[in-house]
Amino acid sequence: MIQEKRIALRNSGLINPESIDEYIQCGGYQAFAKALTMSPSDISEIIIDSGLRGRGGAGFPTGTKEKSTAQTCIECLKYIVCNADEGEPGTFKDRIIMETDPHNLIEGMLIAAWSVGASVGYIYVRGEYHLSIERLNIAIKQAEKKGFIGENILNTDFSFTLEVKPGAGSYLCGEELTLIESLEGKRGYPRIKPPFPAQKGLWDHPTLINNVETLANFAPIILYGADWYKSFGTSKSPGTKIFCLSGDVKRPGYYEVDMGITLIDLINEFGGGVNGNSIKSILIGGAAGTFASINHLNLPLDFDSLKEQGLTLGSGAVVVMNETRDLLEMLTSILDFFKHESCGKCIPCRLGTAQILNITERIQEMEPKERESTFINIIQQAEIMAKTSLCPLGQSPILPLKSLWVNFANELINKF
Amino acid sequence: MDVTTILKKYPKRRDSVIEILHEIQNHDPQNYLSEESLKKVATHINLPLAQIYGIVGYYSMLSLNPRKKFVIQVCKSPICGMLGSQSIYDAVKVKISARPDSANLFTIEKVECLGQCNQSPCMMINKEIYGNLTPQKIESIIEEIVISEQNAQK
Ligand SMILES: Cc1cc2nc3c(=O)[nH]c(=O)nc-3n(C[C@H](O)[C@H](O)[C@H](O)COP(=O)(O)O)c2cc1C
Ligand code: SF4
Ligand code: FES
Repeated sequence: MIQEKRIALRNSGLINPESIDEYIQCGGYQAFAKALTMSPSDISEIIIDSGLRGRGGAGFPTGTKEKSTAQTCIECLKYIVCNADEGEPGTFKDRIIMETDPHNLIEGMLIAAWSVGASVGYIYVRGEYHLSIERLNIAIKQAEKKGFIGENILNTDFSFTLEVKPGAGSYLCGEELTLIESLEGKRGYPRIKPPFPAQKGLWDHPTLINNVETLANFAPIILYGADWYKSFGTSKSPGTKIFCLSGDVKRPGYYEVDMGITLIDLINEFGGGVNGNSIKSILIGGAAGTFASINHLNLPLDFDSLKEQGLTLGSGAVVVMNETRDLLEMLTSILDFFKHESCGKCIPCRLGTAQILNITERIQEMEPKERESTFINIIQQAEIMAKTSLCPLGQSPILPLKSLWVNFANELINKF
Repeated sequence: MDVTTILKKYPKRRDSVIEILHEIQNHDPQNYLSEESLKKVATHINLPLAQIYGIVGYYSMLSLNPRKKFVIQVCKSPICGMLGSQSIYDAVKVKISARPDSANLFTIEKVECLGQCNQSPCMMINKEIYGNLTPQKIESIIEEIVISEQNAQK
C-alpha cells in the first residue's frame, strides 16, 4: 500500500478552514515568523535548494524566479500575485487548497513576499470558485486582525497588503501575463514575452507570480528545510504533487503523493482502479495535455520522465478513459474547448482553432485512407499554429493532437 | 442593491471593474448587465462606454443579455462530456418544458470546466454546485427549486 504524503494539503480536512486559531494550533504562521528572522535572500536560496518547481504547469524552478524578481530592483514597489485561475479541464487541486486551508496559501504568499520584497499581493481566483473566494476573504480578515498582514508585521519593518480579485470566466487569463492584464481591469489579451513578470509585471512593476499549490509548499519548506523536502519525490522533481484523478476511475479525487509515482499506482492504489474492463488511454495535463497509452502505465509521473516520452505533466490532471471511450470524440471536445477559449487577438490561433475543429468533426465519416492524410494535415496545421501564434494557448492544441496520433494512429484510422 | 449603491463601495479605479460588474450582475433581477448600468460604471471609473463593453464582451461570466432568476450552467468540457453532460443538458431541457409554469425561472447555458471534475458530470445553478448528476437527480433538483419558488410567492 502506498500512502498519501500530504505537504501542501497537510491540514486539509483536519481543521476548520474558517478558523485561524485552528491553523495556528497546527503550527500555522510559525514558518512566516521564522522567515522574518532570516534575510530575504536566504529564503530564496532555501527554495532554490529545495528544488521546488512551479505547479501551475510549466515546472519552472520556483526559487530562481524569486531571486530574479528580488534582484530586478532594490527598494522599489514590487507585487506578488497568486495564480488561482485554475481553468485547465481536469484540474481542481488549487480549489481544494483554498477551500480547505486558505491560511496555508496566505502564509506561503507572506513568505514569498518577504523574500522578494513585495509589499502588495493579489490572489486572482477564477470567478466560478465562489467558496474559495469567500474563504480566502475570511482568512485575510483574520490574518489582518492577528497582525500577520498590515503595517510593521510582527514588529518588523515589513508591511504587506493582500486582496482577492475574481476572474470572470476566461481560461486564457490563467496565462501569467494575461492574468496581469485582467488584474489591471482590461480584456484578457496576452502581452508579448519578454519582458517577463519578474522584470515588468503588474503596472510595469516587478511581479512574482506563482500557482496556489507552489505557494502552499513554502511554509513547510521554511520550517523543515530543503533537505527534508528533497527527501520526497525524484531528484529532478522533488517533493509531492497533488494529482487530480477523474474520468473512468472508481474513486475520482485529489491525491497528494510523491512526484514520480507511476501512473498505474496512482490509478489503482488511489483511484481504486479503472471503472470498466480496461484502460484505453489516459489524458495527462488536461486539455493542454497529452494522451498516454497503456504502454505508459509504468511511467513515473514527474516533469522530466513524461517529457522524455513526448508527454506532459502539466497541472497534474489525470483523466482515465476505459475501453468504451471514443478518443476522437474526446479530441473533438478538447479542440472545441480551445476554439472557445482562443481570445482572437492573433489570426493563426483565431482561425486555426476553428479550422482544426471543423476538420476533426468530419473525420468520423471518412474512409481509413482519407483519415490518415487528414490527421497528418491537421497536425501540420497545428504545428504551424504553434509556431506563429502570439501566446502559449495557440501552442497547446498540438499537444493532445500529436500524442493521440503517435499513440493511437491505428485506432483512429480503423475504428468506425 | 442598486447600481449607485454598489458603485459607492468601490474605488474609482479601473482595476475594480471586474468586481463591480460581477456585483451589479449578481444584484440585477435579470442576472445581466444593462446599458444603463454600464453607463454608470463607465462614469464611475472614467472609461469610455465602448471599453466597458469590450470588457464585458470578453469575459464569459458577464452577460449582456437578460437572464432568468436561476442560471443553470451545465459543464460541457471533456471530462463531463465523456461522463454524460449532454444527457444532463437534455434532462434539464425536458424537465423545464414539462413544467411550463417554471419557464420563467430558468436560463440554461453550456459552460467550460467548472473545476469540479471529481464529481462529473456537474453543473452550477447561480453559485451552487451540483455534482455526480444523473437525469433522475436533475428531475428532483429542478422540482425542488420550482416548489420553493412557488411557496415563496404565496
Ligand atoms: C493558456 C494558459 C493557461 C494557464 N492557466 C494557469 C492556471 O490556471 N493556473 C496556473 O497556476 N498557471 C496557469 N498557467 C501557467 C502560468 O502562465 C504560469 O506559468 C504559472 O502561473 C507560474 O506559476 P508557477 O511557477 O508557480 O507554476 C497557464 C498558462 C497558459 C499558457
Ligand atoms: S494564440 Fe490564441 S489565445 Fe493567444 S493571443 Fe493568439 S488568439 Fe489569443
Ligand atoms: S470537465 Fe466538467 S467540471 Fe471539469
